[in-house]
Amino acid sequence: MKDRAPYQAHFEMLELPLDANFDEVHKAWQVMKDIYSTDSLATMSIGEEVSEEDRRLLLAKIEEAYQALGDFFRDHQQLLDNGVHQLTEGITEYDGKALRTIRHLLHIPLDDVAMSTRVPRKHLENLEADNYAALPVAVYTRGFVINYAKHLALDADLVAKSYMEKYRKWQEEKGQ
Amino acid sequence: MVKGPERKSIIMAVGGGKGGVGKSFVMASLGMSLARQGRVVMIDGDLGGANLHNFLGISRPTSTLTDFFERKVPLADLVVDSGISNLGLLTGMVGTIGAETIKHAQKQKLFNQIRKLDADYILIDLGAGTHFNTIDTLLIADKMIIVITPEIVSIENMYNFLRNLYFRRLGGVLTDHGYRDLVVNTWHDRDALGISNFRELVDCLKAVSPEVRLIIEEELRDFAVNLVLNKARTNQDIVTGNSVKSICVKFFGVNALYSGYVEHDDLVSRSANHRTPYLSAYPNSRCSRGIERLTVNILSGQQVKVTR
Ligand SMILES: Nc1ncnc2c1ncn2[C@@H]1O[C@H](COP(=O)(O)OP(=O)(O)OP(=O)(O)O)[C@@H](O)[C@H]1O
Ligand SMILES: [Mg+2]
Repeated sequence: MKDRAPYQAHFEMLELPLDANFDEVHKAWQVMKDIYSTDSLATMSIGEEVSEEDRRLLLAKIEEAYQALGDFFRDHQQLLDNGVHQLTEGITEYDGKALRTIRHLLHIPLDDVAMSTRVPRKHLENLEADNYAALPVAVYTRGFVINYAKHLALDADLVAKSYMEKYRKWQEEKGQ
Repeated sequence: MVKGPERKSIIMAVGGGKGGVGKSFVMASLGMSLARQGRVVMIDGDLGGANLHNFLGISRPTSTLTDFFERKVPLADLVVDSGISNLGLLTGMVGTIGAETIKHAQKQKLFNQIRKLDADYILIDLGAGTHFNTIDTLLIADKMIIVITPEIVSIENMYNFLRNLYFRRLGGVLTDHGYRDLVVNTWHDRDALGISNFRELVDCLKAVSPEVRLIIEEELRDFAVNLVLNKARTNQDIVTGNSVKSICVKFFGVNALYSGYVEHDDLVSRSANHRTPYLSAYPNSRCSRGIERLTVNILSGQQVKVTR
């Protein structure tokens, strides 16, 4: 996982927390541009406090933050793609254990997955532990698996198919 | 009603802004919402035009802050039952003594007794304007609330109020550290120093010495205001709150949180006229739900997300 601390000022410029994802960055950038490039109730009321020059400077900083964060997210994605490609070669079955192993090898903390996917940490733990009994009904569990897989840059459909096969098998056994 | 040592109350105060933006309504409703989770004491500190009781649906209490100032009755004894469970009210006065005449010592005594009130939440409603007594009262709060409406006059007033608030705090902090009058003097010499706005003043102060910079950065790190946009009618109005917040952060360097918006509803005035608290009469209206979200956000520090 790339360290985000050096990018703090850029996240702040877009008024985002350090754990924001790229969609949020993109949206915030559009909003900030809107606020400072057009006249609105909010900007018209400041009066002399802010000159045209101030605004231009600010818009430039907003643009810079967006560019830098764009690069950051692209690099991050590339790192994941390369790493994952090597790690997953030959793997055809994904259970919780396999997922955890891949995650560890990629040095991605579970909290990070929880934060970006907004899947509660407890569910992610159960997912990795193959603790099917504690997981929610299939539709939700499948959604969790897909989000998890996407965050690790895995082939989400493949992973979900494999994981849910095991989940269903367990369900059938339980039913009898 | 003396507070046990274990009880730590959260003080919230609303001040500034233009008259009539809805400070009293928002505070009364916030108080009612909080009274479901803990004991609340509301203080109507609008010494010129107390009217908080109208929004709580009761008539003007007979014991008021006048008794505290003139007859030295302990503050806690002046809290009356509001008829709403868990919510006590302490009322200001109309026309007796104006905020201007309160002496410094009286004010300190008032603040001390406010802090000692037996409550989980102490909510103070203040009048419009930038009188220093209003500002000083706001500064004792853990949560400083500023209400705006989507109108240019209200927003202009807010920026001006925020400047005053921050100035006063800055001045107070620097005086405490032995830099009496530094802020005032710097502002006085602003032409010579090339200071044309608020941000430049703060920058100039920080440049005085590394120590002053440290004081400002340390002491004002937690300085934050909670913005509430009231009387919203359109999505555009709601988004105005996001913009105002952004400006406070970027151009004033003040940590502003956009804590919530409250929609316009004609029934607000009507409820007050009929002495029925709006929040209990229309608990499911969009306006009431706005109040509930605002309550949660103020306590948790969360903010309104951009919705455009
Ligand atoms: N969300 C709302 N929708 C409709 N009317 C509102 C709303 N909030 C407040 N009002 C009305 O606006 C008027 C002013 O409200 P309020 O007295 O709370 O303002 P204020 O800021 O406390 O004023 P003052 O500065 O005089 O103390 C009242 O008539 C009130 O009923
Ligand atoms: Mg009022």
